Amino acid sequence: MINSSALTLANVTWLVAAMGFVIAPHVQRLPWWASAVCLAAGAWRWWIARNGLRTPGWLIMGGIAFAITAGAFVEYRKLFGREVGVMLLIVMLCLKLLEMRMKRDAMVVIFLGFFLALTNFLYSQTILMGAYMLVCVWLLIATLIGFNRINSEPTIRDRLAPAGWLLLQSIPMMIVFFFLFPRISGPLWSIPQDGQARTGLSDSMSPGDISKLSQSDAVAFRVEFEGAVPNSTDLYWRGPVLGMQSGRGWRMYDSLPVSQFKYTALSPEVKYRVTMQPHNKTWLFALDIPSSLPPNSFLLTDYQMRASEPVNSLKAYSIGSHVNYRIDADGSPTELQKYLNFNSRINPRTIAFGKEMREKYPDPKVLIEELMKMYNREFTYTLEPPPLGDNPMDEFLFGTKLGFCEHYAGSFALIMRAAGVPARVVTGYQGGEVNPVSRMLVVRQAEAHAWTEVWLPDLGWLRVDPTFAVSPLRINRGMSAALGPVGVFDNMVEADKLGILRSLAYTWDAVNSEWNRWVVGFNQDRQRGMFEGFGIPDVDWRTMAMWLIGGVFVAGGGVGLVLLALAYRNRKSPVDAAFERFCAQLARQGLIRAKTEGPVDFLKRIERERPQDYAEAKKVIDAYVAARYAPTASEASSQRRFIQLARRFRSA
Amino acid sequence: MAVMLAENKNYPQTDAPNLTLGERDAHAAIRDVISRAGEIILGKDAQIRMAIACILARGHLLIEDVPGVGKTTLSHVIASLLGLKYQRIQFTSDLLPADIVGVSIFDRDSSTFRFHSGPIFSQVILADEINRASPKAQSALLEAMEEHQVTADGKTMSLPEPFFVIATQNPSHQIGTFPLPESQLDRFLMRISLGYPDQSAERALLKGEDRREMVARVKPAMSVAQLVALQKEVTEIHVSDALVDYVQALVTHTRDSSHFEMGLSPRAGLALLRAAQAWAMLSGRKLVLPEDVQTVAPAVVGHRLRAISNKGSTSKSIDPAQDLIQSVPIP
Repeated sequence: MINSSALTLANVTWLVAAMGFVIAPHVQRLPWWASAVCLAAGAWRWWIARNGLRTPGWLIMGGIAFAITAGAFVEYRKLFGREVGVMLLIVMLCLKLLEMRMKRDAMVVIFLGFFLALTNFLYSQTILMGAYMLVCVWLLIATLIGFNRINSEPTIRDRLAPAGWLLLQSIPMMIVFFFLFPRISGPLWSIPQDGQARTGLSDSMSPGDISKLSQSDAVAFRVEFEGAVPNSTDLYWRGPVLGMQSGRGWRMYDSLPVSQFKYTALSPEVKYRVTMQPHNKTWLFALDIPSSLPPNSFLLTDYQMRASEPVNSLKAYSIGSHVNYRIDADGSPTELQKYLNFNSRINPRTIAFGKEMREKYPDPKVLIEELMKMYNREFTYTLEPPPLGDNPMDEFLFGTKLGFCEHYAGSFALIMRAAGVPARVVTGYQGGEVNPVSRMLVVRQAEAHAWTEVWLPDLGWLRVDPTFAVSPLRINRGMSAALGPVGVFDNMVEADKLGILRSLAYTWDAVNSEWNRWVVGFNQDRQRGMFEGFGIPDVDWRTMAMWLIGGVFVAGGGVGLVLLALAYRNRKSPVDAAFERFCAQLARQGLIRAKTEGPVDFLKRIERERPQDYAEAKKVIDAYVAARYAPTASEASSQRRFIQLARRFRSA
Repeated sequence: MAVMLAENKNYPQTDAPNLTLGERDAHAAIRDVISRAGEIILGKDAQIRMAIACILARGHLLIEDVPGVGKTTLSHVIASLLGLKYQRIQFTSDLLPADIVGVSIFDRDSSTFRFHSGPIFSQVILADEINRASPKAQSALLEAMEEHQVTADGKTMSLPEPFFVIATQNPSHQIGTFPLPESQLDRFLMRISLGYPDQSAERALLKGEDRREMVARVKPAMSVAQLVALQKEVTEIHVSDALVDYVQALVTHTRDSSHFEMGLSPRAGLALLRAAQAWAMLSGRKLVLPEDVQTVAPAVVGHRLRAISNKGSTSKSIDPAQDLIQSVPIP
């Protein structure tokens, strides 16, 4: 039966509010006009419900829907893909609110709301998002409960309490699905063209790029060392190598993968495990210099480690490194030639300076030392360097003398090339903070760094970090020591004399890392490992499906048994149960007894509204009154008499 | 605030044949009282029944309404019809406790103080406009109501039985009133209000005889012994466990709910049960139904509960008693 009376103001308010909760995390990614349309649709729908107006006609709705689609196409230049798909889903769902005329429409909106809640996980899989989505689902269920109440308006408690109870009952099922639902390798939603910008290093560098990154305290990756954590001066996490000097900055060469490792280890291998936050790029980070490779990855000739697919979900890998090494000592002149190129039209003073220095100090080692002294003497390390113009290195070296690591690395590499020494810029992260709770090293975006490598005969590529010359603190003690508080951890330090906040922050970080490892990181491999633990080595999808079905039965049956036991404990007396059956009979005919309506009042209403049932109902109710309220010699017999009558009762 | 009474509920009098002959007389007499009172107070049958129920439950009655709707007439008629000795005390702002209880005067003949009892020594006290008197005078009466005895000159004297007070008062927002505090309101079993008569009743009133003369002519319709017997019978009306559950649920709800400033006292719960018994008896039944509780609840709990006013809500103020009944399911 169509029941538009379900669309009461309270129900609509709940629905609009629940949708608002679900959509809220998406707002930061939506175009402003889409958010505005959603807000307007929600407000409009609420206004309609409040004042009992009519919903807009199909012509208006069609027009709006067409305009939205056109707008989406203009905004994203396509109509398929994660971003545009989610945006269209959100906006169309908000428009659907305006189309609700019957209870069924509201049901559709609520069920799509559950799906929409899920799409938040395409963007974030943190604990907080998980908790927030749980709240969203709770609100949606509470809304659903409101729509399914027939005769009374539930209070907030009447909605939230049963909704929470339902959620609680679903926990065993959730656990079963978490462990047994077949995992697919790689996230379902990794649509390559959808790589959205995330904070992190890129394949090029010009002055100002990394100092921007340094403002971010987002975690780049976490590292668990098998042994002791190496010295902070050795914690150079190698990332993109920028060999091409182009215009104002530096870019990556297109390098080829190497078939085999060529390095001479000068220190024992350090083993560790990296858990990397998604950054939508292919590079992986390892301590300079990796001695082994994780699966599905390769090494380029300039010792960049790359994954075969962009890292768009949490990625963990175990790897080893040598922090002292020698590479490419026998570099071929043609290969090295590309590390000597520069654009001579830009930064003429720097180039002239480089040539001049080479004449002054023919030995490259002495040249490097002299340059380091110069940096140390004349330059200042700052996170907010003044902006630079068309010849940035000239302005930096001979003018402002204020810079961040990319200024030092870029200018140094350019001087070296002008001086005829092969040089390149290496970007990555330097340092990290050990979380005393999880004993893991946390590397944040703020620790992004750029340094240089120069090639010297017999020694090969040698790491030279001009930033170290300017600000040794940066390398020895980390970003915050050099520049004052940067990340969350350090911002707290000032106000946190007792160290409580600090230890809380460490604990929270440790919890996050456990969450990443055990919940988000429960991937296909881990699932297979779990089945191996059950004694099923090469699990196929059929076996997994059987396990899943079995698990669902066990969990569902378990919950069902518990509920049955609870119901048995709170069971109604036979008299109450019989009376309820009797009332249900009449309720089916549309005559619903209010919970606060006494039996005789109810009988009078039956007489008025369903006279055809009156005679039979009177017998039942008289017996009920006798069983429940009258003084009787034999309680059992009067009860039995009532139950018999109630059972026999059939509404006409 | 006006306590509107629910519609008069005439339940099928299925249990009447169970009554014994002597009881029948008393029951017939009380029905007679109700119908004869209805001839004088026109169109107020529900309120008359409620007032009688209050007296059968041995409770004091408070009638609250604007002047001129027949509060005093109703109390006179009831007292006369029940054949009780009654005294009327007009409460004014200069009324002293001695004016109620009585005073000791020096008797020159015997050279002793002799106590001249006040109007309180009577079976029915008609306390007119009780909220016009000072709290001191009010408390003299109210103490007597609770204890059924008065103390004067260090001597404690019992009051006659039956003893009850029918007090009338004007709505407290009227000028020159001392509103009764909650603790004293609680002593009244019921508070009812009469309200304006409807069109036809008003017309009959305007065309009819002078009420004062009619009241003066009223003859008792039953004896004191019959009244006492009925009062005793009220306590014997059957209250099942299921009904006690309901009364308990109601009382508990007022204590847990955020709608009320203060929950009902145990005395209020007892009053509710007693009044429901009286109502059930007036309806000719030997058992109490939840409907009886619901019917008497507005009169019994209306003056004991105060709804917490929701600031910002413009909706009409809800009667706390109705709110209570509507929110507690019958177990």
